[in-house]
Amino acid sequence: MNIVDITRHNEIAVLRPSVRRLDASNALAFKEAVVQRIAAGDRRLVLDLGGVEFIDSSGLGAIVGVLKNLAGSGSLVVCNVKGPVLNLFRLTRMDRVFTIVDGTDEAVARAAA
Amino acid sequence: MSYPETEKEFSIRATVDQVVVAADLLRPCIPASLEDNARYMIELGFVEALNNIVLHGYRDRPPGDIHIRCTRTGDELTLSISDDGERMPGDLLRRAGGEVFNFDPSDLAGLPEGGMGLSLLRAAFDQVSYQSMDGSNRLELRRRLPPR
Repeated sequence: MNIVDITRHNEIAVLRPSVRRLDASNALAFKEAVVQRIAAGDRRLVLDLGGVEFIDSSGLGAIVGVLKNLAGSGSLVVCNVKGPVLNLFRLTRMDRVFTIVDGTDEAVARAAA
Repeated sequence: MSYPETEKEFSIRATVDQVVVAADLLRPCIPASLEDNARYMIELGFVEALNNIVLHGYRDRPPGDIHIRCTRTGDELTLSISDDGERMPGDLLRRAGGEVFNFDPSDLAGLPEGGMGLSLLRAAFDQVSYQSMDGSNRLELRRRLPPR
């Protein structure tokens, strides 16, 4: 099973983790899967967290790792974040680091801009 | 009205894929009447505690058992986590405050990818204590519950 499903909207890759929990057991695999896509040329990314119920510090670190891998060249927009997960982004002040929007359409538009 | 008293004990092997099993077993101990964010934080703090034991306490030794006791008395939830792995070094837990989150959001390279777990653990509970004696470690996490 792929840890992340990818659908494409023109040059935007929409990444949907196929797991309900991004945690210490799969964070590294998630990061490596996305970094592989970046290496293959996908640099405009939407991370759709609509199916993710729980993220721990390892999962959050992996998402930060993806952003660092883009190294400022490209975009990563996060969307469909469930309330308590969004609360985690706020608590860790990562809401100031990531562009977080409500829905997938808006995220795709922002990633294309 | 206070919360019904409950007590629950269970054990897991100290491996990373068992942490979710422990989280599933803990969940019924967390009052359903708490708001979603509070429930999430209790589970998160607990998961961070277990991750820390699994990834550091048993890094250089075969996985032992981690024993968990969850008690809810009056208006307090107490999680007691015991293991026989390597003890947590010195004042690591005490020093884990919110500093890790005081990063410059515009400094991409300086963003933390790790080192956040114990700070989240501290943020999730009102009182955190740690004791290590004769090769056994015990972490106690307490959180006050809002009046019902």
